[in-house]
Amino acid sequence: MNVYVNLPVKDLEKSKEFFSKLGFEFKQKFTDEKCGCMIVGGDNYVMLLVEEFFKTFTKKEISDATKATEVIVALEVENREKVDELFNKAIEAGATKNTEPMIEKFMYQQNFQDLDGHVWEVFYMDESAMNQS
Amino acid sequence: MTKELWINLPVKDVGKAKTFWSKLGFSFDEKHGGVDMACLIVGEKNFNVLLFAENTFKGFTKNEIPVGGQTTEVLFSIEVKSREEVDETAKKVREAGGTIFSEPEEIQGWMYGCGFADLDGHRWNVMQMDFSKMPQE
Repeated sequence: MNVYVNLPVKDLEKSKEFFSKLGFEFKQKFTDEKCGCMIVGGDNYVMLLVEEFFKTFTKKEISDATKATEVIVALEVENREKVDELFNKAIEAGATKNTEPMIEKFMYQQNFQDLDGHVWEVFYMDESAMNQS
Repeated sequence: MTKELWINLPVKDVGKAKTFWSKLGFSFDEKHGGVDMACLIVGEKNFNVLLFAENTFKGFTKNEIPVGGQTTEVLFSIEVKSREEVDETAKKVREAGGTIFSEPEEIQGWMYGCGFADLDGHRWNVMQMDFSKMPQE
């Protein structure tokens, strides 16, 4: 059982460029003018679908993600430095800072909104410290 | 670079959401569970969906939540191995109180799937895909 996260985007080329700058790659077999298949975390996929194509699946209007958020897509990375690195790349590529960084005992995270307003969270979780508590 | 992908979704009632997904046959990782959250396990790759009570979720995003499932920002696709699994899931969704917005049907000649909305209006589809029949460009 595989799971795919599908997100609507206004301009697929711009979005692909944005996520490429963050270091993500696209699986060409499933990427065309309507859909970008982004590889995340080894073998999970986030499908970026142009809005009209997205609507054919959901049969609903698309939310304005800048005004209301239905989902946070979270990327777990290996350490705190990588959180900042990925977050900074996103800001340089045109993302908007969503909230202040969250610094907790076992967690460190930064949030940004991508070109379409979708909220992404980049986080590091120290599971060993968590298990000791 | 990225180790794992996690999804965070707002729910009105964590207890009811847990009951709904349990009826569909999914399990929860209790290690990440709590009063205002539950960790739904989907698929074989430990794809985790954290269900948060709406107020907790809003605390993370500092943004509103779309009203009552009237609009959609995201669609999750669950890939299953057979058409029977698609039909079976659609049946379970109905019994558990979800809404089928697309009945199980063949799509583009190489997929078979249905679409449903969960108790909070989040949209999911369940798909069986035969990549050997996928049209080649």
